[in-house]
Amino acid sequence: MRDFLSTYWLYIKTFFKSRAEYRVGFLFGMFANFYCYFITFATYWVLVSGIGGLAGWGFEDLSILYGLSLLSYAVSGTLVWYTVYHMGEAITTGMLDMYLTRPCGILQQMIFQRFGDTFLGQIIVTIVFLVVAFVNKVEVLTWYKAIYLIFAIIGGILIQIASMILIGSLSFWILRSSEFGEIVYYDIRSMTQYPISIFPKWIRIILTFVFPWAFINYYPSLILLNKVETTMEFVLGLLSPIVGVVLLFISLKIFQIGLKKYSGAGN
Amino acid sequence: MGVIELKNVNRAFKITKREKNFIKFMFHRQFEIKEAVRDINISIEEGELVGFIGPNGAGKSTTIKMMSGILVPSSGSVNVLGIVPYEKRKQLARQIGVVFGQRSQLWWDLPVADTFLLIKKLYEIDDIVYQKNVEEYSKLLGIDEFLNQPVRQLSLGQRMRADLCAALLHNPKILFLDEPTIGLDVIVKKQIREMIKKINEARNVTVILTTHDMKDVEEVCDRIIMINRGQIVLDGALEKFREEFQGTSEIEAVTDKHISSIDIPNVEHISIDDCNVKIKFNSRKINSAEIINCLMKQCTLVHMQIHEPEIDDIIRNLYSYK
Repeated sequence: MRDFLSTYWLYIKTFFKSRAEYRVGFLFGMFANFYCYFITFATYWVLVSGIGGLAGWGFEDLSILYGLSLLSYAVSGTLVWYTVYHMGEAITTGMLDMYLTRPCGILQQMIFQRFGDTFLGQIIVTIVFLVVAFVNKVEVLTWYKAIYLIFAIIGGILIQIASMILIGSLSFWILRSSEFGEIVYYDIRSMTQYPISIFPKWIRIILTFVFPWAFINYYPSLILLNKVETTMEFVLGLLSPIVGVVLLFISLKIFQIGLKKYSGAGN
Repeated sequence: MGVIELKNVNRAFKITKREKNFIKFMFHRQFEIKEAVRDINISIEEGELVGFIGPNGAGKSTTIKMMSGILVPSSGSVNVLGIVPYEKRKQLARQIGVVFGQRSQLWWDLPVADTFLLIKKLYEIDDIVYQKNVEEYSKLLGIDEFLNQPVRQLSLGQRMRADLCAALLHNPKILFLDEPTIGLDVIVKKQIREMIKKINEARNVTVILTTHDMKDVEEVCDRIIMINRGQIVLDGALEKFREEFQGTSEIEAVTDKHISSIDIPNVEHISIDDCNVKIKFNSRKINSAEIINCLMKQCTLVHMQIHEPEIDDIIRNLYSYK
């Protein structure tokens, strides 16, 4: 682990050094990111002020709901979005072959290869809004909730990483897997910006048992904000971190299978 | 046992026939089995300089990829430095260096030295070993001139030298070069060929290169392996290759006055155009000295030139057995 971190750190330093030339562009990009998501949060505020909340969810509640989703997405993005999610590119450009001739794990190399600097803006915005929201709702935060929050964030990050690895791995079988990802991962997941209780039951089932995006933010939010109404919801909330671990495991397996297929093992 | 051993290696690809009809694609896909290489047997000793040549799609890249751990053979055994590449990929990776002709591993906006440091970290190269190598390659490849310049400012030849150096930092025993001189101008090609030879001499690194440029093979390699349609057509020393596959040589001569006919036995073709005489012959049947002797008995020569068979012509003939 220490080797991984110290190597990653060197790659990150090297990456920022190479970006130093484009300092203006870099700062501008970060600001644009920051601004863009700031606006999204502001939209909630407008929504709430205008119609007095959404199904009983106030501004702080929505901030926390969205914040959990965005934070986990951005963190996973800094690690794997540019490379693993776009595995198809690595294949067609021959980078994958280069990785295969080096004495290091393929996924590791892909993480090293490109640090997702553009996600930093999102991370900063989200943390700001999460902190503000929790400060305003400090009454819900007991010490065991705080511990759960950490696990929920980690679980969310794992689910997001697993999704990016999974979608990238599809490139071993189909071309342009990121188009498929657009629909399944981006469009469908965007529904979790809102408390999914506002959607009909069949959508909630899909977001829980088919594409488990609700585990990233919705169920943990129910627990954190004392909005749990049924035992089922409570259980699903507690399961969130575990869903993350299981999904990551599955995604790694599928990646391995895809890589084996690429090399032609087991023909 | 050589450093590289391939025995009865086969590699087939299952290619999905592209269906226009999406429904058909989902439920009834048809496959085509394409055999990329068939029954390949190769044994390479340490320190050899081997050139793989063959037409596009012949199976050169496939063979190299199986040696370097990228692809797994469908059947047969591959053994490199005592390791089965696809079983111990990372272990083998520590001992081989690969340069892909059209893909650089250097970071574009940064000094060459920065990429070297990343490689040093990735391959866990000792500080002392690293320093020593950088110094030695500075001498051998002239790297020190541009070590601290951003890669984007380098000429193609400099970049190639830097890529070569990068692949050698970890002291690999085998160096795989995939089309190393592609796209380079004549002067730079010569430089790179010199350097490959120097490296092989200095470090006894086994060098395997694939190329379409016959001069690469002529100037660098001591052994040619030619692959066509997935099979080895030729495997042996360069001289042996020349001997066995003598093409047509040609003598061009200019006489002092118009000549109507010339009689020379055992040649393939004689053409006369006023004072210009062209004689095509196979040097296994008759050598140029005999021809010139014969020619001088029949006329006075003002000027004469002998053309050896172009290896390119020989290759073209072999390639055309498609």
